[in-house]
Amino acid sequence: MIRKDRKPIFYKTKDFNKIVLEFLFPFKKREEYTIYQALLLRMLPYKTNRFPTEEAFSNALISNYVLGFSLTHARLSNEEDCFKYTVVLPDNAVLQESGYSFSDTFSFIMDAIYHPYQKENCFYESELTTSKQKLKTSLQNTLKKVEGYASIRLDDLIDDAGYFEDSLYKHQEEIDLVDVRELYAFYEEVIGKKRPLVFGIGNITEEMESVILTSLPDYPVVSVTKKYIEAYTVPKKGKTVEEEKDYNQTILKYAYKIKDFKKEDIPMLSLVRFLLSSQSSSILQEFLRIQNNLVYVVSSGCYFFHGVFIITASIKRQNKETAKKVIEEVMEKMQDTSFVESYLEKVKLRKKVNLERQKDSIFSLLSDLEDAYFDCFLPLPKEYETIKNVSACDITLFIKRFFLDTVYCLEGTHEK
Amino acid sequence: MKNELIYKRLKNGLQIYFYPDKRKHSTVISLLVHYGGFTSDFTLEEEAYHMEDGMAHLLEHLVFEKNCFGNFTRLFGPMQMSTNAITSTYMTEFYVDTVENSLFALEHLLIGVSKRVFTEKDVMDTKPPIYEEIRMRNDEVGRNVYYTRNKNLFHHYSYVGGLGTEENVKNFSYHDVCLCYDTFYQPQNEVLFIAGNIEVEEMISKIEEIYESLSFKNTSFSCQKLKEPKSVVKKYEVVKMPVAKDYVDVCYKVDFSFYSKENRRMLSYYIGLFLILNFSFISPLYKELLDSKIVEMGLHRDFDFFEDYLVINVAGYVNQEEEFVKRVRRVFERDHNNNKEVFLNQLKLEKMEKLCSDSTPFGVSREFKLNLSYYDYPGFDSACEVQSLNYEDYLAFLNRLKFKHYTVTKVTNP
Repeated sequence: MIRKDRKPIFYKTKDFNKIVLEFLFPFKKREEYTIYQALLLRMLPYKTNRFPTEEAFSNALISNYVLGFSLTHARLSNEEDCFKYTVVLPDNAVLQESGYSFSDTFSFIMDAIYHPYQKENCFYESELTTSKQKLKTSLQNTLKKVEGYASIRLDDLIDDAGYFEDSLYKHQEEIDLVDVRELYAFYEEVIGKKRPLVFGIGNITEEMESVILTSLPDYPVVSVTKKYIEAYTVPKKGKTVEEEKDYNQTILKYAYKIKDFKKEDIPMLSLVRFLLSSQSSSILQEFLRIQNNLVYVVSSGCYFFHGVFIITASIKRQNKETAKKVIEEVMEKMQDTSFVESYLEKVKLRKKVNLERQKDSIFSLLSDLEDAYFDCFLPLPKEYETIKNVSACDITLFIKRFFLDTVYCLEGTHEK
Repeated sequence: MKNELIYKRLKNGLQIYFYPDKRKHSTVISLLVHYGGFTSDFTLEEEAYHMEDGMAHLLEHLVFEKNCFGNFTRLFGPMQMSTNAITSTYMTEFYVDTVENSLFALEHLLIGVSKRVFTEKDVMDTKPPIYEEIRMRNDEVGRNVYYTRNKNLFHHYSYVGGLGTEENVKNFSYHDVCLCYDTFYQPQNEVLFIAGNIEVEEMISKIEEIYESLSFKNTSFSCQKLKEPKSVVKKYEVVKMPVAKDYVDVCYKVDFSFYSKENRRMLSYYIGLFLILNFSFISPLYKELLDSKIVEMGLHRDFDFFEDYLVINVAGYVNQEEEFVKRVRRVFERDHNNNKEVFLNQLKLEKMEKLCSDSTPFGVSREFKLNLSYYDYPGFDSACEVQSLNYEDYLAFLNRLKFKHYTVTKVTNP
């Protein structure tokens, strides 16, 4: 349920020695923002007008009792992205510093977010140049790495609907075209003139809550869309693409598109992934490594907003055909109710046990708080309630909606 | 750490450390064997042995995958536990992280590690995934730099990275593997660490009961300390592999034999601070390198200890290799009197982090293992210790170190 009011959402607990606050700035996804987002991440959280060098800002963080201050980018739904400032503070009931004032610390945080290092509504040219160079090198490095290259190539191969048109790798030539004024305008549009959604966890007192409420700027509150999923049309027939590059490893990827995928399918997709990859069942590991010695590592992943499931295995080149056969056998078995039945309860139990484990993790609990708000991914307790009654038959029926889109093999030519 | 560390030693020599914390919801059981990638030369019953790089890692895989219960993943996984084994420089660790059934985990972990049941066929079967792992690491820039520089730093150490080469692993015989297992995998050479939501007395009873059912050879061995000269083997090497830009690593080999293990623990704090003050994004050098476009991105920095040598490195993606090396060397080889205010601020941050630590039992076990492995210190870093650090000692510790011998590794496109 998305709340329309502006009130921060807190999980108040004395179980931890820290307090974590997150300030979220959602914004509607647009392809032309792709490079701006990446550049802002490299510019914003390191200096401000008041503390115009990294050293000064770092010293100021410490003087204001801030243990951590970072900026990340997250995807909230198919239509919406988000900038997220994560601030980690000590619980002063534990720290017991007489000089500590939450009010001063919060003022510092607000200043850091709303007064970045800029002049006359423009970022500095030198700062932007440095960030551009860092971004370019980072992208090129990813393309040089075997896993990075293989992932980007696969995205390209499966994307017949253009959902990944906003990939950074497709917009590299635009990096040099960004200027300081338009980048600052983007910052103002998504952060600078917006009031964030605030989430927090820890020993947050009423006094602190009051400081937060009264100190947040009186800008328009950010809106959140409800369109979560944009699923692919499943292919009539899968394709196989093989290429060679000068790596030591060979990477084999299987990408499946799920028919009529919708938001309500997300817990099932997560459960399938758990079945194939969690230690409670380790189906992929069992067949590819333990029984057949074909891999050191095999993993699975999902694109939840588009209903895509991917298996990735690092193999020896000469074992390519055997590995393919085993992966296909595994996916065939996943349509057999008795096969799934033998693993399903254990995996569900793991999900249940993880609810206990989660109580020790401040960031996991905070993430659940945010998931509950955005109503796309379920918080862990709710996810467990959803899947605990799922049967093996439900799983096999769900797997029948998996259509193999692409088999991609990147063969390493340096393999001895 | 506010909770108490409880110690017990069994008659068979096993040392046990308990860190109970009833506020936590999980338990970690970690069996640490004092045998890691670095140990290659040892004497057993007056006979000297040498093992190539990779043996400890192969043995770890064998014990984990071919024990009396089969494969630990198959045993613990379906019980909703997390398990793994890790071979580091000085230790091999087998652990289970569990919410329930911790006594089951304890019993099966100890028995599984303590009974040698693997056959010659098991050794052969275990090798192929290791070849894959080696191949995987050979595609990593960081790994390649690590191997190359270790090779160029040390005249006599076989240790390069711990995984070994495919050829090393292929050549390990069943006899070699059994020999190493029988030598090192015995209680007097092991430490058991258990943290989390536990009943200590119940666990002690269980552990004693388990070891009563086990038998060990109780061999007496000693690890050979090789006489490693202060100089490096090779000052420069180029590695060719795909990279966006040239990646250059400058690594110093520093004799610190005059520092006791306890002092080395203190030194590690100061080295960490030294690297932040001089090579992190808040350092003057970083700004200088970025402004003059000598580097493109942040600098990587790290340090490690190999017997009597501190190995400390700084690396980055560079546009001007010579200038980068020159400026990094200048920082290492000059007087280390930095900005005291920045030092004190960083110290304040460390202290706050220690006081407000929220480690899970698994997190706690990482810190324990690190301290035990490198400093023979079975305990945790405390806020009081951080409080005792000061700028004068920092200078004194650093100024005793001579940054003279170094090697440069450059990674460039073929």
